[in-house]
Amino acid sequence: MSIGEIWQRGVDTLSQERHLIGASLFRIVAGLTILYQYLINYHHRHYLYGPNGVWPYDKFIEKLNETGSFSLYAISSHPFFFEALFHLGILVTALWVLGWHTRLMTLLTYVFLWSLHERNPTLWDGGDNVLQIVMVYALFANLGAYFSFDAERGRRFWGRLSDTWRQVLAMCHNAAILAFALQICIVYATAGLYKVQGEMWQSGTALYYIMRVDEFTWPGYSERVYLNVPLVVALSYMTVAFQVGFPFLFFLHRWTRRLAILAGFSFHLGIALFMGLITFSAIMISVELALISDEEYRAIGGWFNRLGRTLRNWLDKYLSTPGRRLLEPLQVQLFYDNWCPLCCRTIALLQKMDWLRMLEPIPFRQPEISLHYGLDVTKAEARIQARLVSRKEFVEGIEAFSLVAARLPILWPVWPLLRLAKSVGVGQQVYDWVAARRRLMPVECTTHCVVDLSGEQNEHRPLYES
Amino acid sequence: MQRLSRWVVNLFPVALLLMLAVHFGFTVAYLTPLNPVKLRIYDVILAYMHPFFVQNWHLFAPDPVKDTRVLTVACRLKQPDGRTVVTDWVDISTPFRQARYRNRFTPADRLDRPQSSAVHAIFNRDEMLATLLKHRTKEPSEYNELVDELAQIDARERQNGVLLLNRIASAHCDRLYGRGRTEAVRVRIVILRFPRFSQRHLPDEAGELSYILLDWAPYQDVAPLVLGEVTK
Repeated sequence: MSIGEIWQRGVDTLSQERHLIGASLFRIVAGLTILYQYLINYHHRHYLYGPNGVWPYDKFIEKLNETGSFSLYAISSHPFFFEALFHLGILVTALWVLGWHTRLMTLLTYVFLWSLHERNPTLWDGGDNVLQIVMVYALFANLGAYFSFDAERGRRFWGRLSDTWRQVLAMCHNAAILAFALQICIVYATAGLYKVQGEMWQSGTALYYIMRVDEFTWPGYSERVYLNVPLVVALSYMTVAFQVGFPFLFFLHRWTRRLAILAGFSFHLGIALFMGLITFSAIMISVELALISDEEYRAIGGWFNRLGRTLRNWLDKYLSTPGRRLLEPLQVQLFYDNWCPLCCRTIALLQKMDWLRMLEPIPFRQPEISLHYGLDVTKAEARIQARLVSRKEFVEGIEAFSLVAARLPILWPVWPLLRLAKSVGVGQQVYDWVAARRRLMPVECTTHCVVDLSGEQNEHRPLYES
Repeated sequence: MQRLSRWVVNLFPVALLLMLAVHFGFTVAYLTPLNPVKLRIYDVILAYMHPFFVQNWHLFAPDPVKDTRVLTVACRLKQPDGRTVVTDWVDISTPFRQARYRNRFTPADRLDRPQSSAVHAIFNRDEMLATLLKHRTKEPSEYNELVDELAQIDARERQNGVLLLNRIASAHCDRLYGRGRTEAVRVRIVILRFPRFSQRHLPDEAGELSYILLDWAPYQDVAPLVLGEVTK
């Protein structure tokens, strides 16, 4: 093979977008973490970020001038402007998570995130520092290929592009993912090499001090670790070994890369639990999610599907009738719009995740359904309705999703965020915004039907009466 | 046109690789400890990395924090009869930490951070600056100017740390005693040097307590800090 042919083959390889699933997962996990940061301190936003906040406004402006940075919050110190900007930041981030006009929202999310960080630089930790940097790389990546409103639109957009642009964008995306990997390697390597110079890390006692300091301890649990000498020494050395070794493990072989990423997940989950650094861990995990290939995700997905089927079969076979009777009152009836393709796809996905058979999806467009269940169809058209089989009261929208998430093991990590969004008051609004934009396609006709496209989406006339 | 497109596509990977090499080259140079080469091009490195790629990965390194620091505040309050009264020291760190022990998903986490950042700004010793100061030249020089500028920035960070503590104290005095009553605030940093590893079975009370007392500072108006359910 000539050099030209080898080069061409290399260019063709680089022109295929890779790690699209991981990039989309990064968007979702990092976006949810940013939303969490906005919402968890929503009631303290004036104290933390407002014009009369704890970090004085004049110092904020002084620092911007010194560093040559920018922040949208510097445009005006008027309280109304602050409120508008803060809430716009929440909206932009939510749209980014949902994958609506993803490339634009990535840029806007970065601008709002950077602005918020600059407004009060005393609040942020290493995870926020990583996020600030990788968001610059993310501007060049395709984060909306999966789990997004853009997924379908993106495929049409991709089809309209010329070959040259397609290849250039694909190479930019791959370079961005490589930049994610290099940045994470630099973070771990630097942190590890600095630790190697520390006396406590060398003597294997560093974890004792970290876990005992008030700021990072977890009473009742940390003592079980830091009073155990072999455990403290092993974990202290493993921390350093993991960090220093990460770059080598990552680039050596696909199996060592998988081991390094898995070790990274465990490391950060431990930090989240024992030290309470939730957002730091979530952000690091979000970046590591982007480093897993699409083929690996599909293999993991296949494994979960098989596990789900096995679990369901086992439950069907072995869960005794009394046991089933215990769970029945907790089952949820979910009334969904079967004219809405998005709703139908969502229900199909939820059913796949319903390992414990806790959901009973019921399409509400059949007239007898509303009569039988006492369902208000007008309400159901606006928001998905749900209720426990043991109760008559309906819940709707984000509350219905919260009820569902509590019953699907794979969605348990999302449940606290749904509750938080609901308690702050933005969950229902985001749901309504999405629901108002869903497309309806009447599918109740049994023979030939005419769909009226005159602008009244929900009307249809059968061609002839049956 | 097709030929041009082919050239663009074939050369684009080279351009991307160069960009990555330059960017991460600067990043590595920025993060390495001080050395003669870095010193020579420090201005260039800073110009590229600041402000959008600023990064610090001293994550509990070289050594982790090894004592517990708690903030306490005292407030000088105006009485209706015109007298002033000085309150007792009130611990404003522990309630946030206890909220975190009860629930990892708590607003108390971020509310505690300005306090930790302020204390860190006051205590933190910039090792690079310390090394640079040791090598000041006897005669005036560009090197001395750079070092003096960095020393000024460092001093300003400490002053900002004190200012932040006073604002935090003002907000807590308002929360504890009502807005409009506080004339001045005082912060005391309590440092608990808990038993070292060789005496790990001893309780915290067996450790050593020390205090850093800041001066009285005028009250500053800060947006209300409403804790509500956060620290219950």
